[in-house]
Amino acid sequence: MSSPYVFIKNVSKTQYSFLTNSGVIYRIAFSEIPDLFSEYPLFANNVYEFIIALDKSFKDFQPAFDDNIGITIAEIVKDFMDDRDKVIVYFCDVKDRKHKARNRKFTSWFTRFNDNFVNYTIQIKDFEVELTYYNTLIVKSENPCKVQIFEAFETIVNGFEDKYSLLMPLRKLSLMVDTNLKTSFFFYKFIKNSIVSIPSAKSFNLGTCASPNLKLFEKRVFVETVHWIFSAFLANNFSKCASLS
Amino acid sequence: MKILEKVDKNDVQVRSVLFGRTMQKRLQKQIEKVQKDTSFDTLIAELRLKSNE
Repeated sequence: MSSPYVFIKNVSKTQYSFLTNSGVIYRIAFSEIPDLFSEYPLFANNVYEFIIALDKSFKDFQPAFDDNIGITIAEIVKDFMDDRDKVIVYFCDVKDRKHKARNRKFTSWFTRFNDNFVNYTIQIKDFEVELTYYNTLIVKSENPCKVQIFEAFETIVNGFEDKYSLLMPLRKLSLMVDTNLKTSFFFYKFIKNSIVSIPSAKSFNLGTCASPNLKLFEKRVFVETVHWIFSAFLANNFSKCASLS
Repeated sequence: MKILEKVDKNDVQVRSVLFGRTMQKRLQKQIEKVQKDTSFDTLIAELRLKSNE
């Protein structure tokens, strides 16, 4: 099937763009994400995150239904996947809570246009914010490592490997501080929301953490968390952990 | 709060949720980056030229 819309790509085939009949410009990117499978050097460097964005001039624009968009995007994916070893991951954006519709659309495109690929979607249910994160992997059928790739994906997405510190130094800090995940989760949340910086353990300033907008429950947890931090500090663990920040 | 109540029993589930949240944050940054990336401008200019032909 040929692409209904003409698309343009850069030399390295990591950026694509096309213009629809209604004048909307799409930007498609395949961004390297070696950190995701860093424990799996066999294929870590072949993994790309697939990103679809509207051109900045159409930010927050709601494009009308256009069947040709799906066909064009499928053709772009096929063009990018010129090497049997390439792997694509994509995460359905939850920002506007249309992630389920996005997942349905991507799945239907895959079913309709697939000729030589295998996909695997893993859902993560986040009860706290009532969201489901759809995480999908696409490999070529002839990829010799596909079984290992799927297993690694399961391991990472299902939380059997510590990947939630990915590109998040503060989160790593909170986890290093605490082996109790409940406390560390709140610690991370409060630091992220409230703190300006942690120059060092000794000059750690409670005032920078305290937010006047905290709800009563959060205040209680905050106090418990701070109590724990100081206990850890007294136990001579905190200075070691804070140095990682 | 269900997740947090289970934290001590099942940290794998928490890790999974945190992974999901992390990747969402990363995705937002990536979308912004793609929208601001000026290297796309050359492609788009070329695209406009082609569409006017």
